[in-house]
Amino acid sequence: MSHITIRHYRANGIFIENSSGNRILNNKIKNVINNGIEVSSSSANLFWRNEIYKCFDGIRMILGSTNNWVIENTAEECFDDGFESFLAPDINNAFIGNKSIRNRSNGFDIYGSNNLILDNLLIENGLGIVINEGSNSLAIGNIIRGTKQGTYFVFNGYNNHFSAENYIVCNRREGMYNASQFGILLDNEVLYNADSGIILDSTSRGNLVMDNKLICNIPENIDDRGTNNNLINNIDKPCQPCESPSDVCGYCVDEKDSVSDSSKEGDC
Amino acid sequence: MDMKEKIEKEIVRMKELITDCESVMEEVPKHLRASQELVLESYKRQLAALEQELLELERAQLQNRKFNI
Repeated sequence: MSHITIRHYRANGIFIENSSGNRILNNKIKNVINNGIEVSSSSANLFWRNEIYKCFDGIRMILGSTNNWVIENTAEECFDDGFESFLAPDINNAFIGNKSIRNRSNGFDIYGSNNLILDNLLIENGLGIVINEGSNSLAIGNIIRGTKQGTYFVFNGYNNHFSAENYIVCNRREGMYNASQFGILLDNEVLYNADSGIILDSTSRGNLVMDNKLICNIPENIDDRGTNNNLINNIDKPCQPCESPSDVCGYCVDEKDSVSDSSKEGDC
Repeated sequence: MDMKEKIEKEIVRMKELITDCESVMEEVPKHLRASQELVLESYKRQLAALEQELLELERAQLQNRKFNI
């Protein structure tokens, strides 16, 4: 299914149920009340270069949808999440090269195991990447900027999350918040975030935090509240004199968080 | 958000969506009604599946609590 424009529907833009091997390419979906693309109990489908604008979720995997490829799509100004893997049974999905822009809730809300989040761009979402319920998911090479409420959460109980070469800059809350166990944070750049660079929660345990570059996150670059986490060879640079995230990033750190009130951005 | 809260929230939203769809069904022209009813049936199946997931989750949590006692 390709090159179709779908607008102003009360349901989903495209709905795939109990089906596999479909190719959904180059469609434009705007202003639908439910999700732009919903994939229910379906596997091995390809979603490539679709543009989704002002829906509930952009692209959602639900009820045991596995092994789907979600590549180079754009989800913008959705009411909830840009891209979502809904529950623990939604596993082995790949989200590659997508853009998630100004969605109200999560840029990527990824539940389940062994999902791949690779080379995506997340700009000005309510929250950035959320990893929960399962194990072994990977987030590599993503750019996360301008998130309003929370940037990158890995929840307690999640094992073996691999996070590498992500570029996390100018977000209004902490760069990375890890409450999980036995994960790896490797070679990430975490710069100019308010409310700390990397926070390892009190439940975090046995994580390897290595070769990350942390610059001018306030108040601290790394805050380890957990147990048996290994912090090795991280570059930890404070702000230069008279330098702060708000100066570099062009927003006010002191103003109250407001998810939808874009008129206050940059208004110090 | 934990799984239970997430599923409960989605169930509430699905129920509202189904109610909304049913209420406008009479305004849908006859020649389009069959396909709209197909969609409505899909939503109802999805709601049933989510309710089943919630039930199984609550059962598992109850068993965990009994085991921990």
